[in-house]
Amino acid sequence: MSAAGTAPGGARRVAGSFVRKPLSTAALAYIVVVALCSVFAGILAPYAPDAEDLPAALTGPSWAHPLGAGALGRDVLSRLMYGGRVSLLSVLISLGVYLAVGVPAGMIAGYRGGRIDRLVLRVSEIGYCVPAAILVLVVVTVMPADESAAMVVLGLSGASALARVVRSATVGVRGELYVRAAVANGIGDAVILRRHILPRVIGTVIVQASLFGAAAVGLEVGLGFLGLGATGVSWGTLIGEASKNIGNQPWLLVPSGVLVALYTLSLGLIGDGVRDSIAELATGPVPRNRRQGERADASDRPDAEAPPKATQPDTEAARSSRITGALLTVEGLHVAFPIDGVETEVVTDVAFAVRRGEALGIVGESGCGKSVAAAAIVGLLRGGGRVTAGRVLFDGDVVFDAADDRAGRSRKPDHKQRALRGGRIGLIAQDPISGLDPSFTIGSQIADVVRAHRDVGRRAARERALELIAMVQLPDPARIYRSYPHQLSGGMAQRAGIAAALAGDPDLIIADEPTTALDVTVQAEILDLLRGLRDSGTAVLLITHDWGVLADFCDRAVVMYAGQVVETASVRGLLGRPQHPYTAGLLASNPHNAVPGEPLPAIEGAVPAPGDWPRGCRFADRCALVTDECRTRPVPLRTSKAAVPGDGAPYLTRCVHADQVAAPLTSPLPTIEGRPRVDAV
Amino acid sequence: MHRRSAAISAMCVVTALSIGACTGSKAGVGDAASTGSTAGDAKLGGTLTVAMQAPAVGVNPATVNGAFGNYTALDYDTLLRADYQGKISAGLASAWAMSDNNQTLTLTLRSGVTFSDGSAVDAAAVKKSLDYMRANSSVASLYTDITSVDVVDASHVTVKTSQPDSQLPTAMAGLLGEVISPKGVDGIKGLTVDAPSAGAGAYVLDPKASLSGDHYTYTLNPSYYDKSRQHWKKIVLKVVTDPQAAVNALSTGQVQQATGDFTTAKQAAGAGLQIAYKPTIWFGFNLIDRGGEVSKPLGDARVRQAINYAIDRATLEKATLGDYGAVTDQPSAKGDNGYSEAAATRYPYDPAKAKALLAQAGYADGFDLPVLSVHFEGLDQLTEAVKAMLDPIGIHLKPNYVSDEQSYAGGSTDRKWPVVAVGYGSQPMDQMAKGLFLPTAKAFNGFGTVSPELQRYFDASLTATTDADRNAQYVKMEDWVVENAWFAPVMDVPVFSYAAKNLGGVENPDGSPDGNALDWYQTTAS
Amino acid sequence: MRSLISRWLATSVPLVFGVSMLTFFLGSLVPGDAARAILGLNADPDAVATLHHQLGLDRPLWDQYWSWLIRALHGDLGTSVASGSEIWSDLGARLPVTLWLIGGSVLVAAIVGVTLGVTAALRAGFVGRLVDVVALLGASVPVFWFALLLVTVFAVELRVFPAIGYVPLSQSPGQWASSLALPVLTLGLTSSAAIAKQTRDGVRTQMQRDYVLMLRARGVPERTIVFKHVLRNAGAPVVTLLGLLVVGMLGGTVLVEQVFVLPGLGGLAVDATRAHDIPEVQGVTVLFTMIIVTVNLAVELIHRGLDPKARA
Repeated sequence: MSAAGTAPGGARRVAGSFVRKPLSTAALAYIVVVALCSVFAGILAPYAPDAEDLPAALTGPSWAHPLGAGALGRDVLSRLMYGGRVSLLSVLISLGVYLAVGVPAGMIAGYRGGRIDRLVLRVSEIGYCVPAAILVLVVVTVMPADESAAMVVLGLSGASALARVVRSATVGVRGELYVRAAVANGIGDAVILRRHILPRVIGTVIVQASLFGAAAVGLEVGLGFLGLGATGVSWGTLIGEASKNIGNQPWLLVPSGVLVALYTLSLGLIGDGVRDSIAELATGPVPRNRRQGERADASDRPDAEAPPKATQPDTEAARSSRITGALLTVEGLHVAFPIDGVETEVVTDVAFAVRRGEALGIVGESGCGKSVAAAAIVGLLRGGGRVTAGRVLFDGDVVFDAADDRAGRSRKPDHKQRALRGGRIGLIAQDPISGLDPSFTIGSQIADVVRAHRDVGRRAARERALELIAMVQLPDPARIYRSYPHQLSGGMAQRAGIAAALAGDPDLIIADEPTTALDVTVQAEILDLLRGLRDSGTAVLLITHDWGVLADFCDRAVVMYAGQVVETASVRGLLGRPQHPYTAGLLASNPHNAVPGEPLPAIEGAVPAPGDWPRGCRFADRCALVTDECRTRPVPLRTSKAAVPGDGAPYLTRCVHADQVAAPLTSPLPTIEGRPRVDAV
Repeated sequence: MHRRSAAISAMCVVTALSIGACTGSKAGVGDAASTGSTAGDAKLGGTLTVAMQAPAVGVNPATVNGAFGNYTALDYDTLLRADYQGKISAGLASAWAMSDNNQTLTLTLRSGVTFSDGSAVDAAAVKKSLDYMRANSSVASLYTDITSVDVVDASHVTVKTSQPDSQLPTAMAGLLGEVISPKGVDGIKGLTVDAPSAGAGAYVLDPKASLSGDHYTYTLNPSYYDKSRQHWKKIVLKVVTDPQAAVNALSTGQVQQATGDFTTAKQAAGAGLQIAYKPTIWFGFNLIDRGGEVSKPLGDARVRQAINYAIDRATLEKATLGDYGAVTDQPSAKGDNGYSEAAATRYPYDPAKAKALLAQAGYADGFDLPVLSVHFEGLDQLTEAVKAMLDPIGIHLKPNYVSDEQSYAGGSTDRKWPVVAVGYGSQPMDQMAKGLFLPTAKAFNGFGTVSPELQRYFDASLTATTDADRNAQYVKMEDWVVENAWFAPVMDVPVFSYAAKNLGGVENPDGSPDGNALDWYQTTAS
Repeated sequence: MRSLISRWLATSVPLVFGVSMLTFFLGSLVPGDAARAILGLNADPDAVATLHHQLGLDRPLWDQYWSWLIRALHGDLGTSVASGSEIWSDLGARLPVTLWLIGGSVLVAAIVGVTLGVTAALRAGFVGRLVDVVALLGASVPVFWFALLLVTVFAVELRVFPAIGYVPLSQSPGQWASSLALPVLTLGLTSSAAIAKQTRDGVRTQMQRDYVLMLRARGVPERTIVFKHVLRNAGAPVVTLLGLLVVGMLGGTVLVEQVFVLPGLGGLAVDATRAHDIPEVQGVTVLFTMIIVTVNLAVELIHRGLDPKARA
């Protein structure tokens, strides 16, 4: 986030990003070269524009006339250069009108709003409906041999569209903090528009202008082709002359046509380049962690992180995490994402298992890899993520094995995962509303899922969907069935999402922070719903950073930190006596444990970014108990002896100093009723 | 797209209907002369589609653009007919006779002929049509010498002129002689594409199968008296303004005939089409300010001659027309009755002589010469090329280009421009004199220059009793305008007729195109 | 719905009115004189003056416009100055050609553009890039160039389609389709590039949305996700663009009708302006404007259909 109060140097950064695109840069260079050739035609052109060489009339390329000679033997190359003056001037005229009218109108309308806004919108609506083609024809007839009036008409008709685009861009910027701050500081409107808003909309304007420039050239050339345009030397008249003589010298269509086609193409490429650059600025290239220059050392670092293992994981972690007869088993999972173009691991050697009917929680701060690990199970990694090692077993069956994937043994490596999705494994989204397609009714979306998993007709699917809607305790199922996502509250949408997840009668539900986006009062209801599911025998893998939710809901928990599992234990054991300083720290910063009047203890520092992980214990930099031993080599996940008796599964922890970690908490377990939460720092 | 302008084409009157040189038979009786040699043998063809270069300005004889005469020639028969050499034969009038003083033409009408609307083609109808045409039609200004049209009896009409006019029979073979029925004349405004035609021609316009500006369909007139002129069940005139598209349509067989220009000739030849052409439209400059009103130097004949000497016609013709054109320094094309062998060599390319003449006239330092030119028909190119040739002798053309025919017409007559670029289709001298350089020529004699000599020769031609006498007068006129350099013609530009291989009658025996669609028939050649 | 229509009427009616006024006054500036155009170059000045008066050209401009408007409101657009034919019948005969041409082109642009766009969005690497390049090239090639190319290849060389002309549907459906094939391909393919681009961007954006991930998580087949959900959500801007393209195509028809010699409104507009035929120009303009406002209404209605929020 850029600091409030200053306008981000959008334009400059867009330009920076633009020049890194070779195609767009080449296109810009072409436009510039063509423009320069036209401006300096007097010096560069081998002949005067109307110099005649009668014997060479209508000939192809030759030494004397490298691009051939047109009627009266006039040199095509020279005429293209001189012609650019007229054509480009025409384009500039219409671009000038286009920008001079469209940009201010759009900016003022978007910035001021109200009556001016309505007026501009109205006028632009009208401008958009005027048949420009006819007006241009009439204007060309009124002022023959002079295109400028036609170009002005084109500019005006285009400006109405531009004004709309600029207006909506301005409306977007107006709401931003730094603009509001500038307004609050009493800076004049004109200054705000120029200094703060213009730089932000200029990219959009360039995109539109490049498209418009292409249209203007098209008009100039089209008029030339119809014989209605400029009468001096221009690209349009050259094309007109060429198409007229196509029977005698078809070559003539080539130079002028290619010049114009490339010109249009270049403007398109420039527009694309600017648009992409803006898009990159807006989303930011996937989490930025390190500066480019530093990346080189990363590989030099001795054994910085175990490189993706090609062999089947058989680490202690994997072994000790195994539970016979588990519904879901994840072994030695490594996931990598491209970060700044380098594939970087964000999850390493993660292993855990979920038993039938069990609720397993995965807990940790944001950015620890919880969601990534869950997504990897069902093969739904985004943004180019890839499982580099590890395997996933469901109900004893290997559904994914990175080794197969690498060896190319399976052409569709995720087909088994696909088969599980929505069927035996249901997924519940964090943001319920955006997890539903806004364009379809709730009912039809659920019915679609039903039909994806059962061979039933439309009517049966509809019946089942209504049942499911009723099952998640939504009132008036028939009405909900017909509703669109935007008509539902967050809680209702989440119920609908759960209904969709249940459509395939899953054995396991993966719920990725299902309550985070919801109001406090709604959270409990959703958890109750999930609890009911668990009670009826469905296993739940719950990803959360809320200890209260965890304590209330889960049987066992996996604590993740910086892409690793740092502890796996029963919830009772974990809360009773955490073995890892990270777990202890998280619990200590639980607001429920706060002593009134004293600051809440928090873990200092932040989770290191993937690729910046320390060689030894990844928590070392934030740990009070850190010793040299912690830093020298990676710490393995070990069975803890000091743990409170669990539920049959071993208590695993990844700490050298597990014994020294804080004594059992004295405070009562956080409960869902008390709504204590440990939010990520 | 490089559409042919109607105006310029209007000047090239010769293009479509070939009205050849006059042989001026004083009287004649005859059957309807058939035109093509084998036309009579051909069986009735299906549909003939002809590409037209411009939409019809009007589809009745009073408003039609003469350059696109087929729009009315198909459905409005003429009183008389003229072949490509100007030989007159019978039409709706089966016989005709000129009085000895060449001031009265008596026409004998064919009996039993009716208009397509059912009324009879009788003397009253012919009088009504002629009276309307000479007063209101687009060609009215050419026939101001007609003083009266009189009904003698039901089948005889006389046409009287104020002065001797041996060319009256020829006029009756042109637009003036296309007879409109009395109902048609009364409702002349209704004679559009939306209504059937009101003529007595071989075909009738079918409004249901026609679309103004796009295509005009003519169906066989079953009651037409001369079956030898009906070679098709249906003739469609399809507007194809782009010569390129016309050639494409010819190659795909969608049209059977099209008029072309130099830009498409090579392609048409490559596509295996019949090509007929004859260079007949002279392109050059009309030096209209012969009195030196707005450009004093131009009042001096030596200056005008200098311009003629300074133009390198051969090079220019080669560059713009290749093998298809011909250089010329006189308005009449070779073969027309005013053509002068002597004048043909009057102005060889001689810049030195040009400079000398300028010096004699007192303009050794040269001068600026404004010229009105247009952006169509390649006249702008010609202007630019000639400008480059006149610069070295010190005459600096200052062209002003207009893009529409209206401005051109206005500029030609508002006494502002001493020189006008022009393309003019060579005509028999009796017509060309009136249309190009006598005071009757409104558009082309913009300053209304009067030459007693020319008038004298012209009057002599009207009273001449033999063709030889008349032609001698014509050549004298030609020699006179060339000697006095009233014009600076550069080259004769051909009009091309492209036709499908199996279309007969598109070429006259002399190789020139026959523009009358009634003359075309289907041959067995595939 | 009712508010939409009334708002549309409130915009459209004054718009048609205003545009007709604008063309009328602009048209009156065209150099030359209709009377002279009718009578020809060698016409007698008196005759020109008489006709000038008969046509009412000597009356004040506003007066001429007013009488035109009154007649137009009574459904009488008058007669063409140049050809004397009824303007209504001229327009009526040519409207179908233009509508078929534009309708067909929009269809081609939509089908080709969406197919290319979806392919480019879903296929990374070579195919995607290829489609991008093809789309860019398509947008860059001048329309008439493309038209000439198609005519040369498919009409003159291969003889698959006619080079010129139009056959009405009522006359022969087969020939009708054949006569429209090349013009429709010309306009449609050159416009499809923009659609392809918009579709590609839209699909790419939509594919990143949460609901796509969740649809996958629910086991909905990928094909259903792309063709039902993603396309539907990416559709609104594509429809807007199609509407814009229709307006652009009204201009494009002028070129295409020239090359293919189609009796459409574009050619009529060119001929009428050249002939100084103001009543005819007026007629075409009013019709064009009505087409545009109708297209706008259609676009808005489709938006409503696509976006449930807009329906509320």
